[in-house]
Amino acid sequence: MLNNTSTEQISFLLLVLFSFFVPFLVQLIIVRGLGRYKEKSLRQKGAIISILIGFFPIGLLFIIWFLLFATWGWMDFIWSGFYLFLVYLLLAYVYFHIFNMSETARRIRILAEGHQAGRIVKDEMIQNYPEEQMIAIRIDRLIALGEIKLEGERHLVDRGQLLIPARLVFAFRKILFPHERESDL
Amino acid sequence: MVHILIWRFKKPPREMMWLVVIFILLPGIIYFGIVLSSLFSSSRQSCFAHPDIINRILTFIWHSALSSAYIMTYPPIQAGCPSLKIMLAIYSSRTAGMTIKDIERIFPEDTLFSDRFDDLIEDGLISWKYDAWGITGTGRLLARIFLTYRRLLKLPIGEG
Repeated sequence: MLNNTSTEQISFLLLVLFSFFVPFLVQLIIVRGLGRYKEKSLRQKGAIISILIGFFPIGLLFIIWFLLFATWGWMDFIWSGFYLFLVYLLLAYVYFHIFNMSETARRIRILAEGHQAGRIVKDEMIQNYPEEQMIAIRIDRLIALGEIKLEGERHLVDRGQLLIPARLVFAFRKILFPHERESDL
Repeated sequence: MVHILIWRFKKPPREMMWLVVIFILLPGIIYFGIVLSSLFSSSRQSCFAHPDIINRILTFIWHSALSSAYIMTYPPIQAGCPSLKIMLAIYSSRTAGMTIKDIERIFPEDTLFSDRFDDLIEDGLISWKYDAWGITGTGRLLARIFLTYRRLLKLPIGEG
């Protein structure tokens, strides 16, 4: 037989494990069930919204867990809630990257197309996926996310929330690969 | 720090695999050893009833979540995410802004596709076989996972 402490710990562990799947399940409901955020330009926004909505079921389940199983005091409630919040946040971040890879990664596109076609013909792929198209797709995404805006023929920074992550990514890239040329960074 | 030290010394092939080994697999083996030793030392309670074991599993989950977040940040760092590069270039242009042609010029010619193609070769996801490029077993598995994921969401495969 399990004692009370073990029951509350195991149920908490199950809650943490369940939180792994919450962003995906919420996105499944929103995109597949409700048919929202299916358009190309809105898909990334849909993933972010799914992650944010995911906080509600997780919070609700955590309160239910506390009322049904927990025998600890309020401080433990706060600490276990904080733990769950951080783990969910990290996993949600991982999930967003996985979704982003499926949406925007050139490597995944090459693999998926190669797998579907049963072969990879490099020249054919370059022809079907020219660099101008790669850049145009990215510009469209940045405009849809409100990061940049188009004024006449010129692109300008709009909200610019990606500027900080961009600086961090390229700063870290310089640390890891100090010998790369400036143009490659 | 571990990542920087090893990568500065020698960047390994199949980088993502090595990051998983260094940050998740090796610590996982250590955690597993600790949990096992707790199991052998606890004779009074059944294995899952031991509070220490659950706490250690929760600690490992925390460690894995943190490591996974770090590992998932690596592909844009390694590949030099073009969207972020565009953002920085437009920001540098200040109020003048950039036309499509200006933006195209920030990428060295023929690198956007070829560099990623070379990465796939280096990561062992595609290989040259019988006079043609083919997807390896790992590459096929990865492609299937992403295709299934997109199918579940009823979305076409991303445009890259």
